[in-house]
Amino acid sequence: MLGFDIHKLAEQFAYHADEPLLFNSGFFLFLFTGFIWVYIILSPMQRPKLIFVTLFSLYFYYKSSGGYFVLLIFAAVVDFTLAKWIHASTDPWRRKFFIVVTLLINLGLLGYFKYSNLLYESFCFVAGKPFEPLDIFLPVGVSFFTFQSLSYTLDVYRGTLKPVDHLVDYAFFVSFFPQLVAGPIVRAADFIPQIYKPTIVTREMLGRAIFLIGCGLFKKAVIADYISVNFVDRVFDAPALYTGLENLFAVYGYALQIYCDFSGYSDMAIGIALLLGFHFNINFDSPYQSRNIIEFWRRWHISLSSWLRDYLYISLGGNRKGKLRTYLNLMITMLLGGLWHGASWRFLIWGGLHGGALAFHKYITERVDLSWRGWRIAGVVITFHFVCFCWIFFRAPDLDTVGQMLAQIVTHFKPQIFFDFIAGYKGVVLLMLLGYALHFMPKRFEFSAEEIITRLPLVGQAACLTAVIVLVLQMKMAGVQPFIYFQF
Amino acid sequence: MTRNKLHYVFGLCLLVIGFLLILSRVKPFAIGAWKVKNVDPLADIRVTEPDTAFAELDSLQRDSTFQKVDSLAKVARKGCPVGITCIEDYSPDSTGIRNFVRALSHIKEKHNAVRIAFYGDSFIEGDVFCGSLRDTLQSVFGGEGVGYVPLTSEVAGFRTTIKHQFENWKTYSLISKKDSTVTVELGPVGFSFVPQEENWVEYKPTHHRFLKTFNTVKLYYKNQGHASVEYTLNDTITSTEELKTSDKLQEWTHKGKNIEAVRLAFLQPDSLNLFGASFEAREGVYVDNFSMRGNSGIGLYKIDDAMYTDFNRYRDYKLIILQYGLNVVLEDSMNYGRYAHGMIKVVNKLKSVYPKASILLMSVSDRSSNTSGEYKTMKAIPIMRNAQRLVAERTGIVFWDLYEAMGGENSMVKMTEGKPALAAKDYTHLNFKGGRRLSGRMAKSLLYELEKYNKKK
Repeated sequence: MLGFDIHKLAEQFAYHADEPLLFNSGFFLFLFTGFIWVYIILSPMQRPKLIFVTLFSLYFYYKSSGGYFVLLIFAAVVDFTLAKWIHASTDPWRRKFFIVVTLLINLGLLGYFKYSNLLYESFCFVAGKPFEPLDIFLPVGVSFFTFQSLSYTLDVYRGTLKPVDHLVDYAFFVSFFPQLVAGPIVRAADFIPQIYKPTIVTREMLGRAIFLIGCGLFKKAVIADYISVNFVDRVFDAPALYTGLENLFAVYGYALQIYCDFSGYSDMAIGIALLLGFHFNINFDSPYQSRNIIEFWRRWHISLSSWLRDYLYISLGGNRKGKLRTYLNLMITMLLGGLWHGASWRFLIWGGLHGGALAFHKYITERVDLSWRGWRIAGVVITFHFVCFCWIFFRAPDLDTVGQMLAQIVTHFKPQIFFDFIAGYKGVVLLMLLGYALHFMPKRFEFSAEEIITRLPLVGQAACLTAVIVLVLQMKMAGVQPFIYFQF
Repeated sequence: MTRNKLHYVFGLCLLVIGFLLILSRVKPFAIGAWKVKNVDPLADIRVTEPDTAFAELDSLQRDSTFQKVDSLAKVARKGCPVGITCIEDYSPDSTGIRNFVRALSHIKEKHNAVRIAFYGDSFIEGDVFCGSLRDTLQSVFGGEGVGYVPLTSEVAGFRTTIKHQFENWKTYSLISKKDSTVTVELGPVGFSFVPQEENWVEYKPTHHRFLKTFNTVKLYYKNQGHASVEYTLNDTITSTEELKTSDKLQEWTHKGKNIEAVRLAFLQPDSLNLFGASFEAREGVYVDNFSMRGNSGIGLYKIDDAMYTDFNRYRDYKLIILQYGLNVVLEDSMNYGRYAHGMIKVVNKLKSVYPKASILLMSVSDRSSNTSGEYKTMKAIPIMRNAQRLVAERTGIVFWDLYEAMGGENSMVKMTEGKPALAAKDYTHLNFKGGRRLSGRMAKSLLYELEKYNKKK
């Protein structure tokens, strides 16, 4: 048996820029075990519990972003104070002024860290100057916690939410570690009332949490990680090296990968919050089952799309200002929503495509009756393929690559390699099949699986979770599959 | 009221950790092709011990020179300045690279073309490495054109240094599956392209600075019948020319100016084998990319001597570069003695068929694999590198340590995972950015040899 290296142990607790603390890391399991022990002891005491969790969350953030945890404290203090002032003031202009300040600060933070380089690059392009990227570190989760914080100040401004009395309560909400790094975007109105309730985890909550964490781990660390490294990334890196058939499957693969990645991580976050006695809303609802694009956006990244709807689309006037304005508002919402995903014009195009499709769908359904049954299946197929098409813009490193992929699919399809493809990429194909099969399964299967987990004794539940973890570790060590070419 | 199960969460965590610790005592085993590995939740904080479990030594590793090969390298690179991975010269009188650097130093007076034959595997395909090496050398010594191009290519769409389309060809190569009913003579690059009914091939230049138009177009072929070539320039003027009938490799040349497109078709191609085309102009340096996916290099021995010498009569190579090894290294095998012996035979053959060229063997590049959840350099890589160094030492040629130029151990991991990424996700192949970086290092080493030569003169 090997001994332990005390330096390595100490190293684990320090910040490493290239290793954010993820729920699927081994270290998190140990850290969380220690955390939960203290949490249980403190759980009957309201304030100490909140302070402890806030401190832990700040440490969690430090592990991923180093000194930038100060930013989190800054955002909490500023929004807490401004919300108080907004609530206290009766003068509408003063209230307007404060809300503008909070918007400027939050969006300013987001803009500075996320979009400075994009703006600078565009400026250089227009001015014909060479572009040297500015050295700006993007603190983890900044897109999530700024939106989360804004939901609080905006709700207070709209009068639908009473501000919290203590800074600690607010800091607890903004920094709460399960959703801190990658969402979901939890609304203040949903979360803050839960702070004041006693900490209770029922048998159902425990079962659901274990089910969600297991599913999340499987989606993120088994399906998404394996198919990306062994297939999808390669094709997107050099599409011209692969046939159209492989390019098409890479697009299907990416659609599955991004869903598994994103929803898997959300599931883990929701599960971990449940273990602490907090309820988050569901963030992904089998989105590829959608029959049209509007439904897709009701089922994909729900916490973001509903945030954009409530705070951006409705603030712009929604559908109350005439038809043309409705289309325009939709477009603006989706363009900005696209840009929220990352600082690149590709995301803007991606948002624009979705915005256009939403507007088109609105236009068509007002004129054509789509209630015929055949449309339902066709609708699922068409919606899925449209979404896949848009993913190409989302994933490809540049527009050249997008063009190459589409050209390969259209002109070098080579269907004859289909069986070689299946034989060559057995693991990838199997996981893709499994992933999509699970995705298109009716809801009741999910419910019964969850129920089975809930009914198991604790040892059985732990065994199930361990089995998933072992599978994850085995996949991680499976080694990379060598490149395969079927061009000829 | 429902009972609070909050304390169960702590129990759950402890149970999971407990199960994992128990499972960490399970030895690795296999179910069919799936290897189940040892799971250790505490691996990150354990003391790591150096891995001494080497495979059984083969004849190469018992060889006394092999054991000293590291110190040989040190001697060969004595006096090398910091920041350059110097070329190691194992020729008896230290003139291994002289033919090449002498030709470079006379390029301006003699107004000739200095050609480099770059033999390799998928590592260099698509001009990932050669493209920027060519660009650098052409910017220093002149030359416009991409040099050798095959008639068909698996990576035509990927290669950015020429636009290339084709239809109706049969391609035979050193590594393609053998068909005992056809005997096709392979050309000096290891390929033979046989035109079929309605064959055509089209080349167009690209936007790269020295590759914007075509000037001189050449073809290499062997025609034992009555074949002719029909060529269309700039999509307008079509001409036909008969190809020389001979049992030797021949060259066909068309000299033009600022050609924007060449389309070739071969008529009556019954006894015609094509070996390649070439695009060049004037004096300068030309890097001919002879990449063949999956090639170990050993197969070069099978090509007929006359093929090489007839080809070289036209090309007059001054430098032959050999880049191989990636297709030979195996995760679990540390025995590369047989491979080294095979390569010694290949190098000796190339020395005799390219007598006026310097021969440079470059080492295998770093390649990583994932055996314990983390990507690391494959254990076989440094051993292969040393086996290749032994080949250079035994045959008295020059050697360039690409593995070291990349940064040695785990450099491929850094290249793949870096931002921007310099290598592909298989932790084996470079992308264009990575190719630019490494070929820059090679160019630097070659130019340093030129500098040394000029000083001595």
